[in-house]
Amino acid sequence: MNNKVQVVVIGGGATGTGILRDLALRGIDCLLVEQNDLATGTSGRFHGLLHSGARYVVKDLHSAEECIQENKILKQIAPDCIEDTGGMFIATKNDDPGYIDKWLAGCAQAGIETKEISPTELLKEEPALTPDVVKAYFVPDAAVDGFTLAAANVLSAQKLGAMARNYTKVIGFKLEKNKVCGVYLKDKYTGKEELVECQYVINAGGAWAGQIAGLAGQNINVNPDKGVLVIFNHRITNRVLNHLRPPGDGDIFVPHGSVTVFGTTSKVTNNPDDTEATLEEVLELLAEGSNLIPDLKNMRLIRAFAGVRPLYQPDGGQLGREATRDFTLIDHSQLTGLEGLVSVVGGKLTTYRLMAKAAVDFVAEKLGVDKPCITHQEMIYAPVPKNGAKPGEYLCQCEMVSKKMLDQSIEGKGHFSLSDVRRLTRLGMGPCQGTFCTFRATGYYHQSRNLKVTEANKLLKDHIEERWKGSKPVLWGQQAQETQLTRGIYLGLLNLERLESDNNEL
Amino acid sequence: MSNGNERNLDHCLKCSTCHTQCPVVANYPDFPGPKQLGPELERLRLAKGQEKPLEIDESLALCTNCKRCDIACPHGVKPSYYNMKNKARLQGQSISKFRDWILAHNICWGKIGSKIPGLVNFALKFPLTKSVMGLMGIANRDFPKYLKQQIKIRNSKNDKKVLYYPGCYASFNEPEIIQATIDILEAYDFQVELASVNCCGTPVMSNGLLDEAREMAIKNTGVFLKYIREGYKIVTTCSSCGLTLKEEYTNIIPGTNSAELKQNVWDLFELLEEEEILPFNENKEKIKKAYYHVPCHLKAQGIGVPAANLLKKVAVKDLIIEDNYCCGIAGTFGFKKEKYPIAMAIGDPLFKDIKNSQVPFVITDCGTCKLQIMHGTSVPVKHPVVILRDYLKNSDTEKF
Repeated sequence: MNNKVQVVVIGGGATGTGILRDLALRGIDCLLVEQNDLATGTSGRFHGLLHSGARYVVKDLHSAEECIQENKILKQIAPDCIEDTGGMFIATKNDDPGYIDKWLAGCAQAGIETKEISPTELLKEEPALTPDVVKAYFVPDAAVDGFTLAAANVLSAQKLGAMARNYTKVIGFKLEKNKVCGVYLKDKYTGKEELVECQYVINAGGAWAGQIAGLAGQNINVNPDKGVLVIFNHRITNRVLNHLRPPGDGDIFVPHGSVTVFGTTSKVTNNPDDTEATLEEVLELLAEGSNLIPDLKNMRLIRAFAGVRPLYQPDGGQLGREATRDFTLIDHSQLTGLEGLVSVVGGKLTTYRLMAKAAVDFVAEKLGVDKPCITHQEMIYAPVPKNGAKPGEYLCQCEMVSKKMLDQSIEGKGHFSLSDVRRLTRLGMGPCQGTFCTFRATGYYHQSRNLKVTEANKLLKDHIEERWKGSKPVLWGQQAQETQLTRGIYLGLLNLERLESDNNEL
Repeated sequence: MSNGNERNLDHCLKCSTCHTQCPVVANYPDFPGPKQLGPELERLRLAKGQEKPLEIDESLALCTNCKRCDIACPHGVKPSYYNMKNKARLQGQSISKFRDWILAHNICWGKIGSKIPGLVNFALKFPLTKSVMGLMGIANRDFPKYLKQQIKIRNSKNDKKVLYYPGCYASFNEPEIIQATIDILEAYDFQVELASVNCCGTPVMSNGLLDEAREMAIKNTGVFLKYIREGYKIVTTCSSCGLTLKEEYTNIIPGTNSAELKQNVWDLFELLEEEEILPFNENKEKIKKAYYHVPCHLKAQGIGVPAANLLKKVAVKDLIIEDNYCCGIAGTFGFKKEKYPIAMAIGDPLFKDIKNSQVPFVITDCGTCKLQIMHGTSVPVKHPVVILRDYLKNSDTEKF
């Protein structure tokens, strides 16, 4: 590849990919590097809520205003990535009625449209809700698919000549006279190291931003904050459900495709890779959620996972729920005199485009590019559209993933895992958690891509192991039975443990 | 999502046992099958807010509603529940809609046909009628003959009371079944009343007219409950009618009424078995050999094979009891032109088995199974109640 670009973007989450697209739209030559696959960090490990901002109106009005502005823009430019489910806030008889007035006033001030609905009417439309609802309001929340969003941003940027490399880790910076002038990269598949020279680096590493800045000797105070989420087998409500009270644990339900994502918790962690959900955290969530959905504990859970919020406090201020959801642009030349590096930290997926704009505005000025940001006007599209197929061509029946979609999801990729495919297609995200589609997809790729047997076996093993990881914290009831079936098929029938396969430290 | 049957989808492990039991899957590989059409796709339908059917839902028209998937499921999921519900949402072409409506309302044609059977039966054989029906999408096959018969009923008072619900097939096409049932019940001291004939709703439901079926269910349940509360047992001799009264009503009109009805509906042979009232003289000469075909809807009732057990015990020396096959007709399914080849393919192994067994006749409880088996094998088919009544008439002459 060309070892010289104007700007290197580090981090393939929503923010990084948004920055890449913004740079490309302004004609700036750029490269994005991501240590894993796109959106494998926080952008793929959250509740999938496109905030209306209503959650933040009382404590964090500025965040709320940004959210509603971006909510409207993203619904326009990224319909492939968003399902406009609408949202609702409900207060039960146990909640503080005083908070409702503050909340309504906040919504009005932030320009978030609210519409009251009577509890009786609401229960007809959403029968799973608690009968204890006393007040309910509709807000313009929606569901957003972080995986598709990141991939759509990259696709849009690539069409304009930008480059993106996943499974490529930054291992160091080339510094000259207190200026960053390149990044040292390591390809995780081949182990090959190389230098890419550039004029500017944008660090959009999210929860890893502190570690990345550390490679350049910079110290930024990113506080990784772990949030646990669980996935239910079906849609419990038709709209996003929020608890009308000060933001806390277990008060957001997002109907996402065929499932419901429910969360979250908030716990400070010192490790951005801490994405394991524990049984204890899951049980705490369920207890909290039962206040809104009384039958919750009887519903089938298919998975639990955790994401790490990249909260940022410049002077080591508030942590956890009290920390601001605002984002910050750190110009390292202001901080330590180091030129050529800017870090964008904090924030949330809903405002990713705004963060990207701020970062690119800053860098463009440094580079002397005066083109304005137009990311709010240009449409983005999913790289793997849902498409119809004949019965029998669906390899994942839970989520209706066809052979054609499997082909599209690996177009132009040398290496891929079934997890990479999954993020773009929802392969294996249904109730059987890959039990039936993993061997089908492996067989399909083995044949269509001429894979060696050991390569194909690796696809199989990696995916099954990855799926098991998420089922572990919810192994009771139907999912425990499901897992036994999975074990029977893979350990019994296919002898998975003794299958010869490629081994790769991914 | 509400509770009950809807929530059942959470129990599906995708084990595919239902898939292996679906007669349509076995004969038409493009059919997505009960697992996918039922609990799998229902999750995606919920996601679409039930607004419009999914594209793949068109293949629901191929579900025969045989219910083999329901009893196959080790976790109690009922794919047929989702299939019936979602079939009702399909748009379809108007010509086949019209055809389906005609077939669904066999009660109307039965009422006319059984009044003037000679004329109607002649007309049904007439080539022009056949070609018009062909244009409407009705398969070119024999229709059951309409028959008119005066039913003799004593109406004597007794403590043991039965309301007999014969259903459309017995009423319009084979009244002999009605007479035989009454003869047996009365011989053993039951007070029998004949329910005024209204369709139970099976054909209406399987042709996607769910709202209409619901209305029928409410009306019929009201009538039955009046009798039940006066101490009557509801007796059926049609497997599909029996299943509908017992199971389907609890699905389409859930509540205490349908639950109470379910507790009081008996298949005739289930009742005879339970009451152990038939005094049999085992010395009488038995029928040598016959083949008993278990209708899918009898299987789905979960009561075993009471008619076959009884006949095997007392009346037939060598009775082959076979529950492995679906005959393929599935009520009105096999009368539809585009589905006729599938119906015949499903029935083919059964036809072969019957022919290989070299039996003089076949016994089965279901009227449409009978039509299909006769169509596929040319072997005569009889209802078990007719066999039993004739046998008892010869052996227990005092009672008859």
